Amino acid sequence: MLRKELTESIKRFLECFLILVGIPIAFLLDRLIIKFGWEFKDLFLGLFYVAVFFYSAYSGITILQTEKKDRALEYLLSMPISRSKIMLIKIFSRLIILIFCIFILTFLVDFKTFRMLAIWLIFLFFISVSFSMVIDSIILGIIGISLIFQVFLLNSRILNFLVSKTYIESSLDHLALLSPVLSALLLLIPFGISFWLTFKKMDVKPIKQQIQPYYYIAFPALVIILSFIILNYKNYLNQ
Amino acid sequence: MITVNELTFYYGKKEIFSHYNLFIPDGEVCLITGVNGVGKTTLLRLMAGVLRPKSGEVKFDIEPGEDPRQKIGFISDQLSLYESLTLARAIEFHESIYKIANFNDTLIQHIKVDKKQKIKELSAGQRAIFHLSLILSTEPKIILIDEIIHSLDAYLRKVFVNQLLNVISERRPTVVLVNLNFHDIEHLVDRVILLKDGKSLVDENIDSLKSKVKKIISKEIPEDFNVLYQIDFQDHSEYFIYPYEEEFKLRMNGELEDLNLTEIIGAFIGGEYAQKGIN
Repeated sequence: MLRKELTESIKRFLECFLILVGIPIAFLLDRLIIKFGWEFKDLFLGLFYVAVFFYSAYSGITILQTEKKDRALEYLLSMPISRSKIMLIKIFSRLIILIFCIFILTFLVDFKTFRMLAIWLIFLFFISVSFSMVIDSIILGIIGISLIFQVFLLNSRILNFLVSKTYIESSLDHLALLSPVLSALLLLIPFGISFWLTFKKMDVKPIKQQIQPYYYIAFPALVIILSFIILNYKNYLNQ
Repeated sequence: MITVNELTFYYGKKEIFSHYNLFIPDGEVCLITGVNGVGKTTLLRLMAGVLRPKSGEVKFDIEPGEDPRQKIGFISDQLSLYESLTLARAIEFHESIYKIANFNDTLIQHIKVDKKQKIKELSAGQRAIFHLSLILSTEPKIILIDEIIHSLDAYLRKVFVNQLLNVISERRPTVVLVNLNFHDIEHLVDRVILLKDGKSLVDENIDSLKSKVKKIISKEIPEDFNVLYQIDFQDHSEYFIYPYEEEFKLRMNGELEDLNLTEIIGAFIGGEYAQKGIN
């Protein structure tokens, strides 16, 4: 099972990193690019960001895609393997490739940016996994995840604003990661619990009949976070 | 052994089973049938563990702590497999999950496929035979087969049924078949269960069922005969009677005919449609 899942993850990785094929083309256009003041390294980094961000979301949202596309869910669920083990193998095989990408980032960006990017990428991956259960269409999934990611970023900024107001006297460097981590956890915990409760009981019934945990855990949590953002947004703008 | 205990299951708000009970002893070959949408496939999926009941349970005779699915070979009506895998990879995957390494490719020699072929390139019949070889490689104690035999051509159907017959005579697994085409499997079956409204309308040993369902060809029959289904012709009618009793012979005019399994189930199902006003 691990081998099959790893092969699939590598396929997804290659699909996302096909974007790097653009590099030789970009190289040929180098002279034109230079005219605009860009450098080849900037272009590579930009494309790498796009690819790695896209991989985190895509590999997460498509975690059950093979089973859906191949109509193999019934076969998989009839096998003597627990649902927790299925999901752990699926997550692990995708996560190690993501961690490899994050490792590459350590050579490309400074430490502060790296820390933030790592949190963003891991958040994006896990929120996409939890979305994979609710949304069948990949395009709708990617749109949904982009919106959630915006909520996460906005919530991080507002939390950072509130934290910096509280700890105005102290050095803020050690608190720099607090708000994104807190913001990520506030979204990941309810979505993760909803995902797990749904997946633990998942069977071959239509998926719409199985996602009640999202209705009474994830979506109310999202509404609370959105309300929190709306309530504090004016103060944040006036800072 | 399969014990279905107080099983309740819903699809959305639609109740399919309510406190349904069933016991299938070791080594029995059981046919589940009924009109479309009655819950045959649902019952099989509940037994296979791919659907979960709202309440109640399906129990198997297994060691404590053992996963019952290790002992179950299930072929769904969707012939669900990883279509994008090659046969070789699918075999390897199946063996890795069941922790076995004894896939026997005798059966797939009949379908003349290359193991480098992808499953999605196989026809329905080839997939059914391949799926059967996969599940038999694990030597299951319980075999659950949904309605797939009809998708096989005459030759593959014979291969499929013969292989099943061999396994039944060699290892005596418990077999549950869901089918609407009974001609090919009649000689395999020990017991027939006909579902209606989430209950077993008929649950009989096949010989007992054959002795209880008879066709009477006559102009008319006594009113107290329970007619399952009736076909009218210009000068006579065919009455399918259940339960038939020996003393009926003395009270009727006309011909009495024995029925095969296809005709028996056809009479029950025809009767159900006639009750709904569909002829």
